[in-house]
Amino acid sequence: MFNVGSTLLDACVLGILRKGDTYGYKLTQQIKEILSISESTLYPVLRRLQREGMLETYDEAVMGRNRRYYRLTEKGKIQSVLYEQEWQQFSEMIEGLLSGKGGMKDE
Amino acid sequence: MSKQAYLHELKRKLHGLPEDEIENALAYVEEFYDEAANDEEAYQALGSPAKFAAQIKAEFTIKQTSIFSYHANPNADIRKESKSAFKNIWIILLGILSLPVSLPLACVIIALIFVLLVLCAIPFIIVIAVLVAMIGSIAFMIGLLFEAGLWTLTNVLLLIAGVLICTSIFLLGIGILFWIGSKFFPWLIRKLGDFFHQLKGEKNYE
Repeated sequence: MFNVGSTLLDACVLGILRKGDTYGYKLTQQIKEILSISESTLYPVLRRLQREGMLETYDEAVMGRNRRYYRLTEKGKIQSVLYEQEWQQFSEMIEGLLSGKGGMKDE
Repeated sequence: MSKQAYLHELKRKLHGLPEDEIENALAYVEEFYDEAANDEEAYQALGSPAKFAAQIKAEFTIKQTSIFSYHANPNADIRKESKSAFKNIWIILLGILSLPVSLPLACVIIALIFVLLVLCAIPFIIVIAVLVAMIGSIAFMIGLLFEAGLWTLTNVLLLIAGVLICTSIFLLGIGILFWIGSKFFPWLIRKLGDFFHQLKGEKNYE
């Protein structure tokens, strides 16, 4: 119902990785449980976060095939905490507006 | 579509991007095929290789343009910078084509870029026209001196003085043009990059 912008998507990816390293396929599935987003959209996001130094990858062989794991860097962790704080503020304000309790007070 | 066929097609579509960029995309797709229940599921999820490649190229474009604007060195060789600027225009064009904007909008943008390019070419045309006019008139003067037999010292000195003045004004003009060009062109490219960035940034994921 609501559109998710690229910043929120970045924040979601970083948030998932705070729980621990994951490989590409699983990470995609986790995001897709909540957001309807295609793989072809998500992959460039991962790649960009990697280039920006937010995450790094390492390969691991599992049952004869390769999995590329993503891991948060120090920079990525800091950014993720920042996103979380920003989101908290933002969502509280939106919640206030939606429930009719928030916003500016009437004079 | 089988894994091998997908990888092959994607590799073909990504041709021209850096090696590690291609390698990474292929690794992602390969892993996806391996983990998915079957090829059909993987293909459904990934979408066509063309679409996948387009997304990667769009993202890569932004990286390229931002590198250009952040590292634009004012002391760099103008020629070199213009060359990479031309490359940038090309990459921006490719990026716009890969964006899922409506066709009319894409046409307008491309037409706009074309007009800008033509505008950039106008100074060169003027320079060539002036040069031709100058050489033509000098030749005409010399011809006149010969024909009319006005081969006096005063006339020859006048001719030489005229040629010298013409040439120096011409060179001065070229210098000014180059100076404006070196300031204006990188600025134009930066603006184009920003504009493209905005286009891309406003796109929302459903």
